[in-house]
Amino acid sequence: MTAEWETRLEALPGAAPLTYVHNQWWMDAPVLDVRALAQTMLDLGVRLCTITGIAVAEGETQVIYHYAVPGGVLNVKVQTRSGKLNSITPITGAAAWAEREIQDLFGATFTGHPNPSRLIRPAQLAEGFFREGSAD
Amino acid sequence: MPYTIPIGPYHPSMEEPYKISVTCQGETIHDVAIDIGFSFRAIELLAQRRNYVQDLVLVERVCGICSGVHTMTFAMAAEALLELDVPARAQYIRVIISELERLHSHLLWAGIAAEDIGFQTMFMEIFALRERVMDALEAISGNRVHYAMNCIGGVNNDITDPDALLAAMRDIKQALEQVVMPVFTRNPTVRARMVGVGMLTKEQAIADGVVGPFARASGLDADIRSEHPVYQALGFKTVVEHGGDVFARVLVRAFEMLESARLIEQALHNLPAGPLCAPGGPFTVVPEGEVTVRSEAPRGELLYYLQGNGTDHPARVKIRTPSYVNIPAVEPMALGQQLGDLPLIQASLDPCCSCTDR
Repeated sequence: MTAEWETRLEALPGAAPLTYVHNQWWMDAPVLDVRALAQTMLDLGVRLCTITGIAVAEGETQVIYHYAVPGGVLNVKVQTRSGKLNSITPITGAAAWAEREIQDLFGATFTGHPNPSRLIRPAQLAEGFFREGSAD
Repeated sequence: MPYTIPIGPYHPSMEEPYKISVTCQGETIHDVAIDIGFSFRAIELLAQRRNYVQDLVLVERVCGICSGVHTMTFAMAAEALLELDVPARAQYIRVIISELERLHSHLLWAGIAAEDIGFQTMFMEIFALRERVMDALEAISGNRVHYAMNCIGGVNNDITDPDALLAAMRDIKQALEQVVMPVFTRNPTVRARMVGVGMLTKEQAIADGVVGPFARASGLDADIRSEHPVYQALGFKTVVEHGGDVFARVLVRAFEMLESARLIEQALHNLPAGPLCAPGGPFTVVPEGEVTVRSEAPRGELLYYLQGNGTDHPARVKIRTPSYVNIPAVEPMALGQQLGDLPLIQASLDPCCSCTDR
């Protein structure tokens, strides 16, 4: 039986079909409306575990939102456009540090973050030092 | 006139570096700002440049206290991509090591909490008890802190003397029941320092996404162990308290120590025979794919995201430790509280800066 969160998630603007791999749910939706995602999950009482950043081509960053849904983990894969993505921190406070860290490590900008200051990056390094060719 | 006190990154009450700036009016805290990153080591980036065998050694160094759960979770992620079935004996040994680690971590925390409230004799009692756990871990693995117990597909060491471990568990349970529990739950001085201090409501706990004993002390029934088949077979019971204050956090950890000792005894009594590792190893190459794996570390949910690319080193490793999501909650807990209670409030979530900074 399809859970309520699955139905609501697949109805979001920019959503893609859910798949179930390695005992967890995945959605690969590069242009998903992340604020609608955050608001829906908040309304459903689903906890945000964390957000993962992965460097992809042309300076963009793949951003994976990991949610603790009943019975496992939901992973929603979105991508920055021109290096930017809307911040979900104004909706889900738990995203605050995760977004700042992705900004530090991959140079992505989270538009609308209430405090987009350096979190974990050593002050002498530039943003995005986790990207290929940026370290060392 | 409000004034701001910068505390840290080197603390009188903590050995690890992080900075908390509190703005006070009189003795009352009105604002809190937290800075981390003072011991950032880029372990995720380093892990992407090493092979899987080296990475097991590396991720064990994320934390000196919950080291075993890091290697276990990393190995579980690789096992998921390899579609390996870990033998039953290895799964039970992983549970025993995880619970010994939880005992060690909670006892360390209880000792420091006792010291923070000025109860030095209790600190020494608890640290003597912790030594018994460290001795047990050393007897099994050869190491006190970095146990090197996990490999991809199983465990590296067997438990060859379960009777010695059972005897240690009996002693630890007795000391917990006769010394630690009564002091932390009934001593009026201890209660006066903890009851009603550093409140975090259930609603705040959900909004802030906090995890572990910290979340369970605010009434959240959330423990990854309850979803694990071996824990289910051992009759695991989640410990939940509803007070939401420092005292509730003490109670959760105290009862969890007793539950850990019981789980270790049960697991030893039911330890299945069989191999320690899945056949076909060592497993040095992980296929293409991605997986997210969670475990219940002593401080709460630990999450690893692993992306394999068909080679002997991962394409991406993401580590989200429990302290990373718990430390920001110092702010809602401290607002409106007395400045003198701040060391206890921040200690009550059992923060680990080594985990947070990775």
